[in-house]
Amino acid sequence: MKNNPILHFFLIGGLLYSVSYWAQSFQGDFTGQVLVINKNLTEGAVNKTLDSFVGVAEAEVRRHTLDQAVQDEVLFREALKFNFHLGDEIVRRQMIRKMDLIIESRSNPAQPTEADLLQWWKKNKKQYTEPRQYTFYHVFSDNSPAELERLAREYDQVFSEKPEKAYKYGDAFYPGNQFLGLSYDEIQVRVGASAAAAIAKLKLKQWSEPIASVYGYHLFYLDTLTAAGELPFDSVKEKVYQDLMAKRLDEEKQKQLKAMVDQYRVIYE
Amino acid sequence: MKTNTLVLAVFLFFQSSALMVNVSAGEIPVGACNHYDENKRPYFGDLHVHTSYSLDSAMFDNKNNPDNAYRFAKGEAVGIAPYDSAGNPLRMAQLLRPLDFAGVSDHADFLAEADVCFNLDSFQYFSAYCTIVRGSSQGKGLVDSLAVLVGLGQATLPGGSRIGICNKKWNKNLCQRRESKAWARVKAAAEAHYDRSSQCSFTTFIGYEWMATPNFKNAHRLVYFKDENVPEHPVPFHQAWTPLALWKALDSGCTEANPDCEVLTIPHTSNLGGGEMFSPFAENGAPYTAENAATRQRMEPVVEIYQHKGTSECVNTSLPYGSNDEQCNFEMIIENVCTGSSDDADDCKPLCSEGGATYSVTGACIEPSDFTRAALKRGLMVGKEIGVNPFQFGFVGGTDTHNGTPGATSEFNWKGHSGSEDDQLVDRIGLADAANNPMLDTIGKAFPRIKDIAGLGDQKVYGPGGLAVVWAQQNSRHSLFESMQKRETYATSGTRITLRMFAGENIDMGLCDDPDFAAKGYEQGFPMGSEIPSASGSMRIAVSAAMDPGVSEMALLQQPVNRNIPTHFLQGTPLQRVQIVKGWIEDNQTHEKVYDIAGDPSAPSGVDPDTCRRWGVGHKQLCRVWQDPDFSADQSAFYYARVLENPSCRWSKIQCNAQLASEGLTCDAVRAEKNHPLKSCCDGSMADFIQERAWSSPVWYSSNEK
Repeated sequence: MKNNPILHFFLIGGLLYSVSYWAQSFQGDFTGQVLVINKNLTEGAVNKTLDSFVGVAEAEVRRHTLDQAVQDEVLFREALKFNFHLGDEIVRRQMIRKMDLIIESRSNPAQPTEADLLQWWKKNKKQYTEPRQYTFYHVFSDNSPAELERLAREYDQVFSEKPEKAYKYGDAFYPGNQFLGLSYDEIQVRVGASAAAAIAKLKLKQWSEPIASVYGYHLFYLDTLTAAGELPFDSVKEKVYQDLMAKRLDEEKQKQLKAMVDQYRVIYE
Repeated sequence: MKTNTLVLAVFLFFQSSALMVNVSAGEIPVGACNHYDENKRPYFGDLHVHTSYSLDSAMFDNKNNPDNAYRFAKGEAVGIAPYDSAGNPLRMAQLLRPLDFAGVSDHADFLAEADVCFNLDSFQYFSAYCTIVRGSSQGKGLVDSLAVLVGLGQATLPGGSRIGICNKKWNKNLCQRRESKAWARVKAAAEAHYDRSSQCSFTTFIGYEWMATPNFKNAHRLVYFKDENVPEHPVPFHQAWTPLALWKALDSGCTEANPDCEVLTIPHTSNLGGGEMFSPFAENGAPYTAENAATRQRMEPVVEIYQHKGTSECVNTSLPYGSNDEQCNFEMIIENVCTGSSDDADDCKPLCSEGGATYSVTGACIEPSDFTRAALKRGLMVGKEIGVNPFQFGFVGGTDTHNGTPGATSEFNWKGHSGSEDDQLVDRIGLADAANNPMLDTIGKAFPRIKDIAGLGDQKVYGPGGLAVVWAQQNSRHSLFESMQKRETYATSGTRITLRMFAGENIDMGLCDDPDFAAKGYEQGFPMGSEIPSASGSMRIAVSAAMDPGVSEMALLQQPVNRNIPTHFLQGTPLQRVQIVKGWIEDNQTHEKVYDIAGDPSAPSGVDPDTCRRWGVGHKQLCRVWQDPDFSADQSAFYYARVLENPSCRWSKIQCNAQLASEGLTCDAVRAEKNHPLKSCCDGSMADFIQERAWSSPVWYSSNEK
């Protein structure tokens, strides 16, 4: 009896079981966290889901929606335990963006009047301009500036009276002979950078000296040049409104952000 | 100002649905653009563009959305992956020359999943599927492998099955809602960036990619609409799992539902088609009927012949539909293919149909019939049998960027196309080495067929891709779209060559000398993409080409992003020659032949391998009216032009040179180390030089003989 290990095993085991049972009954049946789901809140989701699932029994949809709400909340809490909100880069960015939006939604800048818009447009006209547009004609020679000079002399009348027809007397230029209303960037794409730079310096209604391009030599005739003109207020009014509102929204937001930042002492390391 | 833009972007983001309703401002009338040209101009663009709305792009950590993509196309600098912990991009990119047009083509498949998994306001954000998918954007390795497998699984299941987060019944509503919102934002971005002013400086197209890869065979199509009249939803693979089903769905959702809606589809990367892309069977093993051949011809006027994943023009082999053309080797993603000739290397890779085990990156066989030239030949045969040619298509190029960077085709300035997956040179020149790559290892175990590949991200055989060029009277949606429908388009390997072609029996042999080349060309013949009649029994083809004019050095001063580019790269490369590729039927068999018609391939030219400076004789313009010496009125035929530049450095050579120099290394030192990260730079496994090029759309002659 005194040295019976089997008896000791059962006695100790029985004692531990009794203590454990007593402890459990003392604490109650459930030891996990309590989760309260507001059924009223999910009612809207049930109705919304019902609309989307034709032919599925309402009870099933209702049960699923509640189950889903429970699952969502549990998953959210479990995710918090894993500190996903601290370590996940995308969560971090989303939280920043959410805060950004919250601050933005608190901002309520005044709606601009017609006068405000007009004033903004006048002050920022550079933002509402079209680029310079060049319309020009040319005569092309694939290898000889002297040939171009000869053509200009020989067909002087055509060149001066119908410059748009002059290209017919030169060599074929395969990228095309029509240069209407082109921006400077477009000219570069058509004839290359150096020729574009030369065209930009031409005087109106005069034939140029031979100018080298990527492809050969040209005489250019700048027919019209539309200045980098401002666009009429009415044609850009919508954009003016968006820009001014964005500016006002930004100013309001910056005020709120500054107030937030001022609550912190920033140390740069 | 930056904050200003951000505020506006956020505002636009959340107002996109409302914007979509209000922005339909109609189409620019013909002749309303300042630059309107009756004889048409070439407009350069990119119609193969993925943004963060494509799941794989988001997985590569790309954060550029359609709005950013259009800004980039218009010349603005944008950030590209990777990003720092605060979300700031660690790299910037900017086009030296803006594009004329662009279309964002995010995958219709996974449009919802990308939105569900990468936005915290989705209640499935923490689901296992999303966690895996999202994890891939934060590192390379095992998570990548799982993510890729999840993605591949959906796109490859035959019969259009759907797996993943959106297959669950209870997520259906969520996914539909998310897809609708993403689609609305795609449309809103395209509308916002379409220049409807008389300047007509930039055109956008609304579209998406249909991502069918049944049994690992690429059957992908880009889907584009003519204007803002588009269906409410895109058509993904799981809803239409064959091309015919796709076209039927597009007809019912677009052309039949709305008289103003027009659509076209653009097959791409047919080199990975596994025999599927230009199969002689329309569907389920049934041959083409006249009706469905006509549907294909109507729906697919152009094919993407070149992009990031190589060229789909032709493959050299003695097998049926194979070619014998040295220029087929340009940017082939499977190198050293057995041709059946005595010149084959001992270790050449046999094609699947020869019993070999050469697989493309998706695991499908490389088949000669997957290449466009083969399809054009097959089209002649099918056309002869049933009266309608289903493979009567023109060509465009594209990038297939997954960084949201349309038109980024410069060899000297390429930053990869797959976000964080290929942000480093060592990623872009990575070797096929599954043992050192957990992703490949995992995929290799799951799919033992897939061997000899260097990953589903980039690898050394890939490149920047090409451009789509459209001859149109003005830079507007209708004008460009109608030219695409007429196949008056061409493709380039990224360069900006001007290429024009007219064909017909009445072309004047002196047309090239006529300064009115274009106007007379239209008068005397038919432009590229046309069907050519011939009553007199002759065929003349006029081809003109002008070299890429290059970029102003001033551009570098204005663009801090590109300031370090050596200025000699900015100059265009002179042209070397113009070729005509002809295919025809004779004795009930197809044949092909390549003619050099202008320029001189033997003229001395080359590249300094150390500096990549180009030298030698070349042409600024080339033109020739060529009469087919072998033309027979009894033989149906097609002809297309190919223009080659003088040699220049491939992107890998330029970047390897720079990397080696910056690390103070020589190739001897790299070769001395067994597994040096830069070993591909020095082991001869990549071409040092390439010949950039342009491919015209074909013209067709149909004999009356059946």
